Amino acid sequence: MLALSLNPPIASGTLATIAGVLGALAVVAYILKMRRRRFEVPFSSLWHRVLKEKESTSLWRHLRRILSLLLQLLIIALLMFAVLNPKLGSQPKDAKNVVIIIDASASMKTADATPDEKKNPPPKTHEIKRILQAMSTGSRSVTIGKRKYEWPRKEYAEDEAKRVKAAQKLLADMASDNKDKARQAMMAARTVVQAAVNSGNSRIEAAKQKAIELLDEMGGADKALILKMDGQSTPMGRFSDDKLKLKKQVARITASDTPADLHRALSAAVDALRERDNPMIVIVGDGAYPSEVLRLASWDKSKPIVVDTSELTVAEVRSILKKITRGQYFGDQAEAKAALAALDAKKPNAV
Amino acid sequence: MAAPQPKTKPAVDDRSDLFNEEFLKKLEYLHVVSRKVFSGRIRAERKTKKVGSGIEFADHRKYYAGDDFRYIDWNLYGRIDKLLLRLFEEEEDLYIYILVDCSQSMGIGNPLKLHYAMQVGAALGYIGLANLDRVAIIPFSDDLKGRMPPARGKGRIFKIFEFLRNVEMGGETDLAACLTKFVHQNKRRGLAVVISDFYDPRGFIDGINALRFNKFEPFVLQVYDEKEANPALHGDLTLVDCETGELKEVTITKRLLEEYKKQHEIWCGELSEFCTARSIPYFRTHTGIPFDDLVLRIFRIGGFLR
Repeated sequence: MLALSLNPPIASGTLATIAGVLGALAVVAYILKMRRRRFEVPFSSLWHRVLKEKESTSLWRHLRRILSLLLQLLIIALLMFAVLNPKLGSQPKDAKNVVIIIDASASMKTADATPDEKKNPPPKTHEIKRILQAMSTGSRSVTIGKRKYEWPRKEYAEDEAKRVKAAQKLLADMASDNKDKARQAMMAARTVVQAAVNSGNSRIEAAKQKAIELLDEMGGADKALILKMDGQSTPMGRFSDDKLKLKKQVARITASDTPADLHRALSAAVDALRERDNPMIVIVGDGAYPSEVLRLASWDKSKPIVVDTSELTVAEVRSILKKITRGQYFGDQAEAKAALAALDAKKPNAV
Repeated sequence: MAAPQPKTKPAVDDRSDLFNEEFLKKLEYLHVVSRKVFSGRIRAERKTKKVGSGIEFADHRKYYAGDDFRYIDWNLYGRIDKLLLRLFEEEEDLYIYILVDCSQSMGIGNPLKLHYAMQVGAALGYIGLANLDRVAIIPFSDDLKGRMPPARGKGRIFKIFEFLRNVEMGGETDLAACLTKFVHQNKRRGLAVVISDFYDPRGFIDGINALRFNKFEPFVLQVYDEKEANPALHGDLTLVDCETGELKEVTITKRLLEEYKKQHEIWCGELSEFCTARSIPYFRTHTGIPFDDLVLRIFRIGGFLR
């Protein structure tokens, strides 16, 4: 069902005042414009004769006369409607409040996609220069021989520009006559290139990607909070329904060197969700979260839905999010998968 | 309720250059042409049915007691022994009254209809003067606006110019009132040339009939501006009647314009039909036609001088 919700950013009284003033202005402008051009005729009787015969169409003429005014008022009404910030999707009472916990612990630095270093050895010295050259032009991959080296795009244009600049500087230093300087630059370049190539396959990048895909699934009135989980839990912003803003917050997350403190992150999420409707916690990470800890996420009487997405694909998560009802939670993978299977087998919302 | 006055004066009523040398030359030319057209006529006379003290012999009639002895034809008495009177055709000047409409509506157009009417009036007046007729100029709008008394002889044309230059423009058109007043003021019958746009909401019939019924010979000259017949208007307008100040709001459409043109044509047609049915000479012209062309056309068709 198509549902529409209004989220006025300012008090509706103020909005009504603004609408009234704009409407009045339009009417006044219209009346001012209505002052017609005067034209002197020698003999108005002739015009009377002509116009008498036109009386029958006068209704339409009057209508057409105010058509422009009606159009203006319509435009103002549409503007006001836009200010009311209408959202397609769930009604506000169905809107979910989601805390997305992104695991940024040391384990997330691992590059899963390249577990076998023999198959995918680090780039050789002569390759480093070519990779660096590709990097300095702003491209994100280069194929040398049979192997394709990839590194992810830095989220902000600024960062990307910095990387390009750094690559250019390293290249320049490597070409320097000073041998010491060239050697140092070569070493630095090796580190940079390895880090860049590895970062493309790291778990944190995958988690961020998943979080972004999940954000795309959000309904219009749904609100989310991004929580970075490492040794401490850091909220990246406030509850918001602005997907673009949330995605930027996600992009800012980098993996740290501390272990994940799930307990702390969950209590922070629970604190944030307290008193909010349809609470939900989604954990994006590399798994291995003890279910007894996950079960701790609760307050007075209610419990948020907790979804650990570690080993679920985005499609699966989407399916769960659609079907699960309030009060349900999935402590671990097995439980989530089982619930999903049950949902598929039985009618929806019956778990 | 005071009707609001129209804001804009449409054109400047500057008459200083109206009767210049060029104009005089044209008048002289028209005069020469008129002599050609009416050649064979004895100058300066209209033969009237009235028989009296003229030069030219007309007829004889029986003498009755009381007749003037001086007109008895004694030669005839000697021959046939009967008293008969010699009758002569009485020669009489024709009176030409040129009535020029100078109401506000004549102040429209380029050139002003009023200027055009004055030029045509002066030209016809000149032809009349040159034929030794008596020419009077009478401007009118809602009332007669003074009058230039009948004058005779070519030399008086400058008086006509002077008079026309000082005629005041303004007021509504009231043909019936003006022409009725005119026939009451002028006992000498004659040709009454009415030069007007005939934009009288009360109609023209009463006015022209006033002339006819009092034995004047009406001569109708309708002047209009090309833009009155084909107005180039568009959009939302407030039409102001330049005479009454009456306002009328219209939204001009192509169809409305077509309708207006049709109505204008009908209005002019009514006047034309009325005149034709009563064998009144009728000419209709817009101000784009040079006045001398119009006068030549009048000569050709006849009606002004007989």
